[in-house]
Amino acid sequence: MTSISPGWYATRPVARLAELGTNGVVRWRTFSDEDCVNLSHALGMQDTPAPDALAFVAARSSVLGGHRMPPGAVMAEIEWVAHVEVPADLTIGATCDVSTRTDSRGRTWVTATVATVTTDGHPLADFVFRFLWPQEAASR
Amino acid sequence: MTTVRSFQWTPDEPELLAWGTVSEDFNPLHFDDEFCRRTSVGRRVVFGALVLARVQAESRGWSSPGLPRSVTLRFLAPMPVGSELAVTLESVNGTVQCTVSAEGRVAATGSVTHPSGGSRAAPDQRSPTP
Repeated sequence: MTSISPGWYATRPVARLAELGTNGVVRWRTFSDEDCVNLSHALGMQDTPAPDALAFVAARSSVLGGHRMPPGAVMAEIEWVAHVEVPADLTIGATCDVSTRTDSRGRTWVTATVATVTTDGHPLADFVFRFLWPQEAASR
Repeated sequence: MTTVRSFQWTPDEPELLAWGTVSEDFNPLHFDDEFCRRTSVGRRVVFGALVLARVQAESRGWSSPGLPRSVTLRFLAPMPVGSELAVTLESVNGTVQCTVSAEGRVAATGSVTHPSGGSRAAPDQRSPTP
C-alpha cells in the first residue's frame, strides 16, 4: 500500500511540546457504529459491539491535540488500566497531562498521562504513553 | 512458567487501514513503502498501539466477565508489516507476562493483570502454542 490519506499530510506534526495534551480541558469524542466495525475488524473481534480500544483511541487523540507525531518520535511504552466497559453512547472524554525528562544520554522522554471518562463523569480507563522524542522537536 | 495463551497474527492491509481510519493515524511509517525505504527500518511497521489493543482484546474473558485490569507493553524493536507476530502470554510468579516476537526476535514485552490481581488460565486457546 502506498497511498496515504491526504488528511494526514494536511495535519501538521507537533511543533512544540506545549502543544501536547489537553491543558486541563476534557476533549470529547463520540464514535460511530462504523468506528466500532472498523475497530473490531482491525482487532479480529467482529462480534464485539463496542470495542474496549475505543477508549484507547480517544486517549491517544488527546495526547496529540489534533496534530501528528513529529518525524523521529518513537512510541516506547503504553500502559492501559481499565475501569469499566465502553458506554453504549460511544462518547468518551479524555484529559491528558504531559511531562518530560532528559536521561543521562541527553535524550528527551515524553510521558503523557491520560484519564478517560464517560459522559456522566465515571472513570473509564487510564493510560500512560511514553515516547522518545526527537531532539530537534524537543528543543522547541 | 505456564503459557496461558498464545497466538500468531500477521496484521493485513485491511486491518491496518481500519486501525488507521478509526485512530486517524495515517503516519507513512505504517502505510508508505517508498517513504519507509528512506528510514532506518527500511520497511513499513505495524502500529504498536494496534498490537497492544489486540493483546488487550485477547485477554478478555479470562476472569468472568471480561475486562483485563491492565495491559502494559514496552516496544523494543520494529514489527515489520507482513511479518508474523508471535504473541505469548505466560504466567510467571502470579503475573501474566506478554512477549511479542517478530522475525525471530523479541519486539515487545509487557504484562496483563486481571481484577483479582493474579494470573488467569485461559479457558481456551484460539491457536496452538508454537
